[in-house]
Amino acid sequence: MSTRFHALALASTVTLAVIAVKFGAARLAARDVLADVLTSANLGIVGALAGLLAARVFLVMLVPAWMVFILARSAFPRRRLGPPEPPPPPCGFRVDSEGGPGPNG
Amino acid sequence: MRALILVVASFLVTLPILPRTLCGLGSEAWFRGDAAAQVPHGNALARVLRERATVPGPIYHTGDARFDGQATIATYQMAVMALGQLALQRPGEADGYLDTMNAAAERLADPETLTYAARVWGAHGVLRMEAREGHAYLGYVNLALGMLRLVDPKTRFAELNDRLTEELTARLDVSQNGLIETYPGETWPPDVAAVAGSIGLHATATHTNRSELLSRWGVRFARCAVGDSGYLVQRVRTGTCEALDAPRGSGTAIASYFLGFADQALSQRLYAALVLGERTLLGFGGIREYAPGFHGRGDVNAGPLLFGVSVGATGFGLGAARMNGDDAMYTRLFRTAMLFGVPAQVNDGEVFATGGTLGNALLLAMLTARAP
Repeated sequence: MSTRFHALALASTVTLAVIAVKFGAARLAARDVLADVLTSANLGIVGALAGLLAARVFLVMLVPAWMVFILARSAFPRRRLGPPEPPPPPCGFRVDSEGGPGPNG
Repeated sequence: MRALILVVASFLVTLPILPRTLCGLGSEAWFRGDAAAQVPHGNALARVLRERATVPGPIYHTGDARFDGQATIATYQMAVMALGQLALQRPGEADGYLDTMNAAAERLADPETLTYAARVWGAHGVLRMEAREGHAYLGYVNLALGMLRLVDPKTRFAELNDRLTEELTARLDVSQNGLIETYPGETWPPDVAAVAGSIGLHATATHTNRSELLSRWGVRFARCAVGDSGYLVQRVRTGTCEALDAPRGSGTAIASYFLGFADQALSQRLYAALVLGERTLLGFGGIREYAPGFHGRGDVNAGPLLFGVSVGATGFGLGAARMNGDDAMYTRLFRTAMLFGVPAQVNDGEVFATGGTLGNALLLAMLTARAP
C-alpha cells in the first residue's frame, strides 16, 4: 500500500474517531450513563459507551504510532529488488508492435 | 518484513511518550488546585446535583435497595466533599456551591434515602440509635455534614452533625478492636474509617481537640484491620479481628482519604501500602485491588478489574495521593482517569462523560482531596 493510501486512511479514520468521541461524549455527558449501565435498561447507551472508550483508546494509543509509521515509510522508501531493467534500445531503432527490434521507416 | 519493523519501531517511539503526555495534560493544574481546571467540573456537578436533590429517594433504581441506597448516599456525600474542598480552596466562591451542598445534606439526612439501613436496624440512625448498634454507614453522612459545616459554620445541620459525632465517637471509644458494625452482623473497616474521618472533620470545624482519642482509636483499628501487606481488610467478623474478606485496594484507598481528616499518620501508613500496590504501564498508573497473595473477582466497591487493577482502588487512590501530597503518583493515576473518564464540555462546565452522576461526584472529590 502506498504512503498516500496510508495517509488518506489515517486522516479519514481519525476524523471519524474524533467526531465519534466529540459527539458521543457530548451525548453521554448529558445523561446519567451509570443508570443505564447498572440497569442495562438502554443497551444502545451501553454500546455507545463502549464505542466511545474504544475510539478514545484508538486516538490516544494507536494514532500517534500510525502517524510515525507513515512518516517513517516516506523517509525510508522501499529499495527496488529483482532483475535489472533492460537497457534502452540503441538509437535509430524502435520497438515494433511485435516486441522485437526493427528498422525505422 | 520491512513494514513489520517500521510498525514495531513506530509503536516503540510513540507509546512511551505521546499517550502519557496527551492524557497527563492538566494534571499539574489539578494538583495545584487551579481554578481553570477544577471550577468547570464543580459548576457542572453543582447544577446536576441541585436539580437531582429536589427529588427524595434513591438516585438509582436497580431493584437492589441496599445498592441503590448506598449509591445515593455516596453520590450526595462525595458531591458535598468535592464542592466543599473547592469552596475551601476559593472561599470567595463558596456561596455558589452552598445551595447544592445544603440540598445534598437534606437528602443525606432524609430517612427515605437509605431505607435499607432503617429496615435492617429497625430505625434510621439519623433519627435514633440504640447504644449497642453501630450504624457505621452514618460516617458517610456525618463526613458530608462536617464538610458543610467547615464551609458554612452556621449551617442548619450543625445540631445533627454534633449529635451524630457524639454518638459515633462514644461507640469508637469503647470498641475494643476499634471497629463498629455498619449493619447488624456486618463490620466493614473502610466504613469505620469514614466514621473516624467524620469525627476528625467535626473536630476541625468546631475547633475541638480529639487528636488523642483518634490516635488511641487508630492503634486499635490498625492492629485489628490492617494486614501484613499494609492494605486494609475489607470486612471482618463482628466483634473479632477475623478477616471475612481480603485486604483490598479500594477500601485501603478510600480509608486513606477519610483518615486524612482524622489521623494523618494512619492515612500515610495506608497510603504507603497503596504505593507498593501501584502498577504502571507507559506512565499510566493503577492500584491493585487485592494485596499480594490474595485473589478475587472484586465487587461493587472495586468496580471492574483489569489485570488485577481495579477502577475503585485507582479512583480512590487519586484522593489518597493528593491527600498525602504525592504529585508523581497523582499524575500517573490522573492519566488513567482521563483516558477512561473522557472529559467533555457541557453547557455550564465540564463533566466526565463515562462517569454518570456518582462517578463525577466521586472523581471530583478525589481529584480535589485535601486536608482542611
